[in-house]
Amino acid sequence: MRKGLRILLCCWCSFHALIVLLVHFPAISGPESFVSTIAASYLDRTGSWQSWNMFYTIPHYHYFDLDIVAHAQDGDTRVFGPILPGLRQHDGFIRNTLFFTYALDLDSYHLPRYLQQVCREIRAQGFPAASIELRTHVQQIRNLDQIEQDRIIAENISEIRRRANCLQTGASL
Amino acid sequence: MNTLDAANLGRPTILERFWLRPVDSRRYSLLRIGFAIGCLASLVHQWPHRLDLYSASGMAHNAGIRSGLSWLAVFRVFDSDWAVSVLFVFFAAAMTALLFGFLSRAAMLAVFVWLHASSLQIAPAYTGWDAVLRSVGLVLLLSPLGQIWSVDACLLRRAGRLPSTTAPVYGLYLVQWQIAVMYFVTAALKLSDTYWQSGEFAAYFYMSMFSLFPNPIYAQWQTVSLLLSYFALAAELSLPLLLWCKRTRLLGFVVGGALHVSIAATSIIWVFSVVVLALYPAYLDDEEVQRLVAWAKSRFGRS
Repeated sequence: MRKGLRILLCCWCSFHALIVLLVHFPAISGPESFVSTIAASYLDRTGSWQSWNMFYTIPHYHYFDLDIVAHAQDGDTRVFGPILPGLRQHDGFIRNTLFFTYALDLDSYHLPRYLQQVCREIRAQGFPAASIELRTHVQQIRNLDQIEQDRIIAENISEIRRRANCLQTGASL
Repeated sequence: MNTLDAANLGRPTILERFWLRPVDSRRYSLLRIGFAIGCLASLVHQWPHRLDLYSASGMAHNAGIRSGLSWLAVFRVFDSDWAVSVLFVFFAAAMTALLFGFLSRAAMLAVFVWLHASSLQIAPAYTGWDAVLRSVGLVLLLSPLGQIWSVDACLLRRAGRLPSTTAPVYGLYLVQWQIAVMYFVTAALKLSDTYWQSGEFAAYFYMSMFSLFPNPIYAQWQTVSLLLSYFALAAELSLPLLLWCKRTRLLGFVVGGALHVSIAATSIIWVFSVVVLALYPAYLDDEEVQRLVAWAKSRFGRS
């Protein structure tokens, strides 16, 4: 290996090691800082962006499920599973759980497209859906003191999280 | 890579002496094998649900997401059900090739594409182990992959050439550093959380949807919860140093093994444990690899 290449390789190693550390220190790599600009650009271009906030606080759900309630214009109602393709039941697969929890709580990008796709698939299955509702059925973990008293881990919470008009596009709520 | 032997270094700078020090190439072989196992575990875990998040008939749709490596998003182009299945089989084959060291560099390139295509496609369903594999993937793409213990080595020998027995250390150092940063940052974030501080985290975790055996009894075992929570925190904070330091490395392997095996045995996030433990060989030094090989030879009768 040529001397120049060796030096280049060493510089990259040092730079990479420094960036993957500094990016986790907001005081140094705050949004406006020089380090942040360089780090963000480098990490984005090399696909090395990272955050290690795994289980930094407690998980809140003992159980997480969803379903789709479809309403026809004649008042008929039918319940479908939320998983595409096929409108299957959610079987607890962690990535699908993450998809819905993230999309419902933090992300406005994926849900409208998902709900349109659900509308199409329900109608393709022969049910003339005019509108749909995405319902979550969660069991939220109670405080340890409460669980210790009655040995009931969680309380059931069911709610409509999104609505979509299948005759138009888009979702609401 | 013999080109980095002392004779060829001329007058090496401090950086060269640090990053390019020649080490036993089998260390990279172990890391390559571990990394391939981690990638395979992640892919196999997703196989039954591949259409849910990767195909056009599924739920995720990331055509609008941009990153510097968007051009690697092959699932945006090949998004039919059968194309997704074919791509999964192709990437599984690449991971298997990497595992056995067959056309290692090309296989690593394909695995790198998988890691980024996957991360761009399933952004909302992204997990910690995806981030570990992706972060290490870049380093391994630019590192030696260990010619020893590979099909490539057999092919080289058949062609009358000898595989390199040494390689520059930089890739191993960067992987060690990445794992250390992961442990340290995740522990630092947890330190500011009240549930971790009070030691209640483990009780909540083992009653959550991530637990394989959720039971209300964990609410009564608050001392056990405190011990488990503090063990996890102490392990994550100390593992970078335990694994780095030769004198404490064995203890590091025991502590890290206890942490990750217990997570794998009691929760649904077993893939994370497989991925992280599979990267631990990056911490072994030349002498330890030699001892491991000697032990394997005495135990199994061959290298």
